[in-house]
Amino acid sequence: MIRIKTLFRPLASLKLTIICLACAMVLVFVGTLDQVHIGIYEAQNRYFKSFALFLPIPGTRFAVPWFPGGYVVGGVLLLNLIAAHLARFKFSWKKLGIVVLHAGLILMLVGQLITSIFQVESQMRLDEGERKNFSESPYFDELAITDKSQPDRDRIISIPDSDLRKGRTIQVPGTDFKVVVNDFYPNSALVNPGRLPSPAYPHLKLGPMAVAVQIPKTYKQDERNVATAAVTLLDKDQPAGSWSVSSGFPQPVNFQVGGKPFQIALQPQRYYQPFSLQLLKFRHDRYAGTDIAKNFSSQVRLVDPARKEDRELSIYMNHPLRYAGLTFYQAGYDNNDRTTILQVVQNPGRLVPYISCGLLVAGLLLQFGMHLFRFARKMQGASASAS
Amino acid sequence: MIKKAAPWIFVLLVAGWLASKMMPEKPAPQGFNFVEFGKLPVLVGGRVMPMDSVARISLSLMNHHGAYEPVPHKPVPPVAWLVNVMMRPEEADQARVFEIVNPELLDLLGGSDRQDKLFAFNLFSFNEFKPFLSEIEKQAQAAEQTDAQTRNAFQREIIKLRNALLLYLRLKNSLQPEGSPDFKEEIDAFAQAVPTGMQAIQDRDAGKPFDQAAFERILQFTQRYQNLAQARYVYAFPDPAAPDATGRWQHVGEALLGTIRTRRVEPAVGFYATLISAYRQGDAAGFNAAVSNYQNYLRRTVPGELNRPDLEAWFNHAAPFLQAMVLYVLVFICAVLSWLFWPRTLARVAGWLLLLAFVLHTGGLITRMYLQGRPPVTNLYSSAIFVGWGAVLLCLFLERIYRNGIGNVCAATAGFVTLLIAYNLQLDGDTLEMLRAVLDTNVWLATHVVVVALGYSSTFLAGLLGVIYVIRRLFVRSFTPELSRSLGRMIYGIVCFATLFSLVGTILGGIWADQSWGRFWGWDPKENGALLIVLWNAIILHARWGGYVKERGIALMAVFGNIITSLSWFGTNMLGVGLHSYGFMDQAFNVLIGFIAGQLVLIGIGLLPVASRGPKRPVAPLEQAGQLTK
Amino acid sequence: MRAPLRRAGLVLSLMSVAGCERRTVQVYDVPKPPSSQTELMAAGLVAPGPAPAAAVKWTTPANWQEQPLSEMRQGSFRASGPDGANADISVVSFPGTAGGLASNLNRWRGQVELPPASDEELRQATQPVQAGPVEGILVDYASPPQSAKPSRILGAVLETPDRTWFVKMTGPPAFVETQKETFAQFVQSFQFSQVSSEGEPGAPGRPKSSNDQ
Repeated sequence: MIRIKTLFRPLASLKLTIICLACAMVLVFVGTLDQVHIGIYEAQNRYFKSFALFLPIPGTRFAVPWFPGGYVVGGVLLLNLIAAHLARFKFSWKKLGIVVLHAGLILMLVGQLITSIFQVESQMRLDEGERKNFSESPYFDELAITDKSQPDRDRIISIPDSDLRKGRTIQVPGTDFKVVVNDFYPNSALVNPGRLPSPAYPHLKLGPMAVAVQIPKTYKQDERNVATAAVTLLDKDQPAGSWSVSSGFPQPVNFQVGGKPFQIALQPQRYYQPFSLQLLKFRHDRYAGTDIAKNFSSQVRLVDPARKEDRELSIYMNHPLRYAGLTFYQAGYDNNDRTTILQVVQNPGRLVPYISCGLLVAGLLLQFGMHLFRFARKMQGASASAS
Repeated sequence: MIKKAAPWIFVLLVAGWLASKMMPEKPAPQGFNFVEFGKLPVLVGGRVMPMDSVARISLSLMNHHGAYEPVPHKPVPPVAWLVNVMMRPEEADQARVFEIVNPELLDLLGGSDRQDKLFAFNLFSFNEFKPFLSEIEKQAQAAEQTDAQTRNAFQREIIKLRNALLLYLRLKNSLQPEGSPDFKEEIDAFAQAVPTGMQAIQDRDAGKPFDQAAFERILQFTQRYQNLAQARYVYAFPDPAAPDATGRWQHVGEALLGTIRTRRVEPAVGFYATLISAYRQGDAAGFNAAVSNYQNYLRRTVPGELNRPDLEAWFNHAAPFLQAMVLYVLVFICAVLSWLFWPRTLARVAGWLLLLAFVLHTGGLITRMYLQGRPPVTNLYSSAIFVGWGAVLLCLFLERIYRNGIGNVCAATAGFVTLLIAYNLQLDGDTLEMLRAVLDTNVWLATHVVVVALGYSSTFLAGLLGVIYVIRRLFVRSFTPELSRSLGRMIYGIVCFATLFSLVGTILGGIWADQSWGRFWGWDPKENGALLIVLWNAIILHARWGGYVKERGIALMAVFGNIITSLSWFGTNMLGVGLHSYGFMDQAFNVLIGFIAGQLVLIGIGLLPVASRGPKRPVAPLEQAGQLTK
Repeated sequence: MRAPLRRAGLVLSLMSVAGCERRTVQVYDVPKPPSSQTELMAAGLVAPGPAPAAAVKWTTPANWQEQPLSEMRQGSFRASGPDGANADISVVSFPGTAGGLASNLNRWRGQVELPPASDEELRQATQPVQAGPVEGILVDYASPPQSAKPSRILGAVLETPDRTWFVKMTGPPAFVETQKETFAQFVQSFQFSQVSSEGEPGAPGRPKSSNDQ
């Protein structure tokens, strides 16, 4: 118990609060500047969804942590808040505002933690008339091996691209399959074979008209890395086939194993849903005589056989569809206004910010309201005594 | 007696001068009525605006004065220049309106020769560009291949020049095909050619013998007007029969091509053709009559479209924000002088002038809201106007409470500086521009954006008070502990407001983001900037509550808050990433760096110890005791 | 300051339990997708993949710049002219007759705002073209006079034994006019080589590698 007490007091100190806030400011500032170079997603991972900022030691593969990351700063701030309340705040009505305010803050930090761990963001591209029951990740790819032998369903083996490293052998659980990764390009360009500098230049053949060559990863906001992999599938340790697949050539390759039809493809990671959306019509209204978008809207049809849903609805800017724990937002469009891009978000902690913000605002108004009230009374008293 | 009345006479004089500036313009009695022409509505950039605005916006995209000054300091009314461009382009081609600042570009265009010969050597006319047009196009295309964020000054300027030239060409082709010797005759001939020409086309398609001459004539006209339609920018011709807003305004090329379908010339085309002829012949009476007739026609056919352009044309002329800037300067002078002599009188004068300025400021804000149909803050320009307004409002309360002139001085400074920033932001084009789809929601614009802007107002105000503290502190003799405490309390109070506004504003932004894009917080640069302001204000408050800083500390921290707020407001736009990148500003970068450096210098001055205020001679103990008990 | 550091250590260990996104190999079932194409391909009735069964070579004209390929295009070029005029040229191919000649020509007509035409009218407006032993047709569609955005399409359709090839140039009318000759020469330069189809998905148990071809 003594040990906890000696830890407790500094944890509850105001100095620590200020230090944490200042560290947060440094993180936010440096992270924002770095975004220009590495993009928002990467900056989020390095600065805010991390435990420390690392400085690589040149010439080695090691990196030295030199500054706490978002999780540490947020975590310490959270504990500091809780500790401060437990240690120092004797409850009084005068302090109600601050208590409510800090409660809101605690809830907000916890909520953001939940979000950062559990949130899954994906996108759904629908051409006019197309019906899909899955969304795709904007960042992650997967190697998908699909067993199409059953008449009513497909069995999909999904291997995340983070597992695809040259020379690795991946055991697929529950099956006799193993996948051997012969080569992997995190980012590649697809070119005509005639444009290779020499026939021996390292490349992966995707077809008679296209090969993939490795290029550096891109961090630009609107560019996506095109991954290419050369894999061999082993069935009961016997090779069943070798292919080069690329997310730039999304058409799957068909093959057979033991008489059963299979497909293999490297594609954006898919998140399947028990219901499907079909794009009926996409509208892109522009202001007269300009190309400035006035609004976008997608008329979609939602079909959910399990819940007996089959209805039409509209998704447009500032008006998303919330269904089955997912939220679908109108994010963009493509293909000369014939394709809609919906942002799909799964976030169990979605409501927490609302509650915490309500608490924050209430606490602030209480606290400053009381301040202002007392101040006004003092000034009134001062002017009364002066006159 | 005079001493009592003089200040009021002064205020009345100022008010009178204001009124005179803001009266609707009277046109020259004998000449062309450009004022009425300036009110004619056209559709540009998705919104209906008066010709006067088209002229001002176009000029502001061509040179940084936004004016055409053939004789230095005697600008021609923008609308007069525009009429020339649209109706007498051969003359307008000689006007030196295009400004080049970049030295490499100047060299490319033979600027070094001009330097010795011409007064305004970096102003060019369209004629002077003619030999270089293809080179400019080639360079601009090459520059556009590069990434927008990594372009150098030459590339940015050549793209800007090319766009300005393109705009100019489009303006020339807004009411008639450029270079048409007599447009009225031309459309008469066209109207006559249509029926015979269409017949000829039908006959030809059916394989029957057809009138070759008529066929070729109609083909020529069609080709001409199709090319004309490529220069779409100003949609000047209303089509009353159009079912909805998107088709209501047409470009001259489209309107003329429509004649083929409808077999008649649009009345609006006829009106403008008459205008053009009258102008080219120097017939002022005819010109004015045609303008008046056209306005009557508009009132009959599209009555709803006239109110806003009229108001906007007057608003351009009255320029309430410019007048307010002048008033703020006067307020500043009066308030500072009130510290030296005539304290009560000058303070009163300053107060009244401030009120006048605030009324102008508010009136301008409300007019913009009406013209745009939106809450007050929709782009960077309007944010500057609103931040100033918010700061002045807070200062009015401050002065009411403390009555020591500091509120007036802060109001004047904040008002003037923000309006000056706004004036410079005007040079990016249309400040009443249409909003992108994602911003098309009045609820969030009215709440999140406004509250965040108020957060900027209050943080800047706290910083301004901090600057006053630092400067005042140098005048040691008059810097009493009471004054220090008073200023400290003011700063603390304003920081409380700033924390409230910035936190609530940031939260509202998060809720908007969640409703719109599916995530409450995305670590977008603008979001991060707002977070930095909240964090810093929170640090100030916590530091004060913990007793780690006293008045001087708070003042210096508030000055540092200026740096953070300016980075959040403008710096994030300069990063060019994320959802919040509204525009890239070049010179603004240098101004921003200069401002930050200035604030750092002030903080440094504030950290320096100053000579103590203590008495210069040893005090007798009895005296000391006496002082203590007072 | 030691206490806060120890605190941080505890926090770190707590956080690592929560962990970041962990992605693992997954196996799951989904209902069959609504597309019939994939089923036909799986049953081996339709030749798979975008890679064409027949290899083709052509001579790229001097002033056309090669553009990156995409999943639809086997060839992609851009021709530039004075005053910033640009034309886009694409080469795509589909197995079989790809929906029929008339529907494709009418699709092109629609793209330049021309009304669809009957088979007879379409035939009258085509010119024959020869690419080695392969016969094809050339068409030239321009948007009608009252169109606000005039453009022009030069198109060629070549039929090989198992695929149909579409070559299309789109651009402003005047500029496309200047490229007519170049386009025709480009189409005439196509050489199709006699290569058997890419794979026989029906063959059981034979390992297929795309490196074999």
